[in-house]
Amino acid sequence: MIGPIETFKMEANEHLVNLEAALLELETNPDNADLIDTAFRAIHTIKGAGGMFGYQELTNFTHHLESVLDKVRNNEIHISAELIGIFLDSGDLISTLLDNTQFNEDQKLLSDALLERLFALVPSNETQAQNTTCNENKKEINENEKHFYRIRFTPDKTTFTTGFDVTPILRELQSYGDYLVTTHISKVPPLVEMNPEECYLKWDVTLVSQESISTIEDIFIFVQDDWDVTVEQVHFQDTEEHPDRLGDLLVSRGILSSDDLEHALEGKQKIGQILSEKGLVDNSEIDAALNEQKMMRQLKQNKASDQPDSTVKVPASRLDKLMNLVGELVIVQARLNQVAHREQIEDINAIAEELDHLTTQMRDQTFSIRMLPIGTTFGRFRRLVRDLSRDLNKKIELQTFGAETELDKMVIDKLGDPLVHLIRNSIDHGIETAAERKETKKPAMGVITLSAEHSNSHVIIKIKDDGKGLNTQIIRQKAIDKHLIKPDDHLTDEQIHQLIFEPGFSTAQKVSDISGRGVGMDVVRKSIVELGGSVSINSHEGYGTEFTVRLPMTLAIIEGLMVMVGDEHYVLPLSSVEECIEMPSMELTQRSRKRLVDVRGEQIPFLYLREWFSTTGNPPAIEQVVITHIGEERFGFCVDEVIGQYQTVIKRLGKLYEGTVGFSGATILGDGSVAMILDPQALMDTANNGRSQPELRVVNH
Amino acid sequence: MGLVKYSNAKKIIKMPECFTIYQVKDLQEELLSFEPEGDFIALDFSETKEIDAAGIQLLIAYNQHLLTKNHMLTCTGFSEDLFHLLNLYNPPFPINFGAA
Amino acid sequence: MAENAEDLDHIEELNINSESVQILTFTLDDEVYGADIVQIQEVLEYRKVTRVPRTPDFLLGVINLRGHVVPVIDLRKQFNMNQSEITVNTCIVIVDVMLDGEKIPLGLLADAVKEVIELPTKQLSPPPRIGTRIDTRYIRGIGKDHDDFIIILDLPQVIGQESLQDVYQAVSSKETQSTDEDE
Repeated sequence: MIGPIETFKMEANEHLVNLEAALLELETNPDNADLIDTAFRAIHTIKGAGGMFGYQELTNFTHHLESVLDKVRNNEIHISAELIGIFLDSGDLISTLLDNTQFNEDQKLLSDALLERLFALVPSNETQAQNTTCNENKKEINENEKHFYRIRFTPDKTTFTTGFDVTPILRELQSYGDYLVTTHISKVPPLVEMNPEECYLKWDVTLVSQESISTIEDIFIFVQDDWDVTVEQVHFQDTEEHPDRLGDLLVSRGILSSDDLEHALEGKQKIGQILSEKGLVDNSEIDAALNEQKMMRQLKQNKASDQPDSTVKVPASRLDKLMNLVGELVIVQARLNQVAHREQIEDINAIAEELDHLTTQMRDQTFSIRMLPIGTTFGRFRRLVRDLSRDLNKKIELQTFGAETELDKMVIDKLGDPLVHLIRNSIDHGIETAAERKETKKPAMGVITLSAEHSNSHVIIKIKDDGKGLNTQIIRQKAIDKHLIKPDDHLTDEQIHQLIFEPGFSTAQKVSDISGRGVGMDVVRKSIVELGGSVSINSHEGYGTEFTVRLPMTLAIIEGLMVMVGDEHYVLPLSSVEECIEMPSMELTQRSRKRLVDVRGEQIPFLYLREWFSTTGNPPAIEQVVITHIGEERFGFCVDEVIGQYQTVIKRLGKLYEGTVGFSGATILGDGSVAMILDPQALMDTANNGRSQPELRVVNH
Repeated sequence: MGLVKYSNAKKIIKMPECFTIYQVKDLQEELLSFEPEGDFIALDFSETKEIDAAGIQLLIAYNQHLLTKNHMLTCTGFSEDLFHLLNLYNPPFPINFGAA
Repeated sequence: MAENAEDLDHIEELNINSESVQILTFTLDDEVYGADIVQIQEVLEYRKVTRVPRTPDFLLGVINLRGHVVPVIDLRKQFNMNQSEITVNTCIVIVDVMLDGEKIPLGLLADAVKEVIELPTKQLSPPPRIGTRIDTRYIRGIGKDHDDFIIILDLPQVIGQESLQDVYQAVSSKETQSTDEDE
């Protein structure tokens, strides 16, 4: 498996290549804004990601480069040959800096010299960032060998008076891995009665670590005689089907007897609640078990996500080739099926059938090789949240759900950057500082939720924070200032929120290490759209913001439903098709755009594709409506004829047709001709927009 | 005046430099003698440099004590180091760092 | 005038580069056109072109070229010529164009492909200012083979950035149009 740091290095190197290319172009073409943007983005990303992986000095260095490029971008200074020279040298230096989080002496001298040259050309208007030495444990962690420990200890009553403190022990445990602690307070007597010099507390620590159990036990070596200490390693394999159910956990922790559990489970409330209500279990015991449950689930998620790539590493290009070949194979298979069907030779039919079976398996297998759980990218985000929240003095917890959701590798690869930007946005602009949160009576700990789930042939990724939400007024004002909208435009809050995806839009008040240079939301949207996806935002001031990213599960093959309109074939993604019904002839007499078809009493709107596509010729006597479900909604497409299921190899339509709406690509049919693949959602949206009042067009083609 | 200094605003109590096993007995008395007025009681730790498990246990007990009287405890002003230290314990009351 | 001067530049460029140029000739609406073969990838027999609905007419649609989806442009429509039926002679000439820094293959529909001829560059003359049916900016020069005039197309101009930009605009305006109609 490629660790996150490796990924960072690879990505950084790609960005460096882009940077170099852009710089070289700039030499002949110094006013090209796109090139300057490319250079800026490369540096910006290296800086951001570097900060996340503890490359503090690199981050400081690139920060200065970025500031200068920002000035170039804003036309405050002009690009010169000297400046390009400095940047080219800096690019070379950065590529050598990626190997160590700390600069060595030579690198230090080089970077100082480069910055000196840079400042001579462009005086810095920032006070020099101090070189904060942050010497954290940046141990590479072998994720595959993580153990799950349950550690419980009750110190002796006299612990404190004998000069022991618990802090060093907790600190050491924390340094060994992912750490969750519960301090049990049930034995603490009322303040009036207590002897504060006696120890009444006990602790439960759930630890996911690669350290061996003896290392953990060694922490307690000096106190083991006096304290009550248990260190247990939990193996999931040994446990039952649902090892992480709270009740079972409590039983396995010896806090609850199975009988009590059975008894409590007779009701159907949440188990934790029942148990504490019934007084069977102390609240803090439940908390501790809940902690464990949380860690266990996380670890299992990680395990699940580690498995597929722990064996063989194959260059992505080979995988792409394989996928293309399988695509061709599927097409040839379709042709063979056609011929076999036509010729009706028994032997050929049998062979075609058998081959078809194999082809399908082969397709599925190849396909699955490319499918990776999205959780492989989650680790990167945890780190991001941890480090950035520390830098910003915010308390933020990242909760992830659906790490096992699978996505095409190509999609996952290209998703990294946009998701980083979205999460950064939540950390930087969404979650408030602890003090601000206190004022609004929110818990000090902000929560960012990252979730992924399948929906039809799509994956929905949501990034949600419980922060301050978008300030509609500020965004509106800013959009007016930037001439994105007119002062008298009437926009709904939702429409105003969408404005943050406009190029150049950024509400950040000051230059921070995290985001706020206006690189971001527009780029996020662009990269997601390039993946055939979409991104939307939903925000409530004071309550937080939610970004929803919708992506196709694969860029390669889908199951389709082939239909005909006029003499052209079209393919609808089968995953969104619910049923096909005959079009009642009376519906057609209605000539208005708003068409509804009655399906068992429900009025479902549909698009008359013949008309939409301006198809010539007469419609058949009986037309068909394919009913699809798009999210919550149902929407129909009226076609001439439904042909049937079809394995669809998705081909890009290419640059020339990039702006066309309503098609997610094309596919090649058995006879070698091309059929368009319909995008139900886009078609529905366009059709709906045509009817209702004009929506704000945020998309620039 | 003992170890605890009262600030002008009655609700914020300044905590001493050390909050450890050596002070807990005195601190217990100080905290008990303090009659909170509002719903929220903030302990200000901006001058505190040292805190140990005994100190944290005392805070936990004080929190419980306040809860029985329907008051809310917030601990603020921790230095970054102490803030991380307190997080090791995942205490049952809100802790903040920076100015109270 | 400016256009003419520009076209002369093309001829000069040609002269510097080589003594002669190889031209693929084809017919469009009974006139002979030519294109430098270095720009041409291959010539295909006509095959069914799949129309991409709701796009401008001269964007004929897409075809399958060995597993790739390749757009086809109808030059007759682009040059505002008469339309004709597809015949056995109809061909699709595949050319490579640069678009947004990306090299993409593109098909041009031709009534018929004739031959490849070699013309001495000095025999090429600049496009006349009048008398041609198509916009002179698309013409690189006029050649002569025996008694026939050959209008040599400047393919980068015909399908280059600029005219494709028009395509984009056409595509998006078409979209807005149809949206407007819907209201």
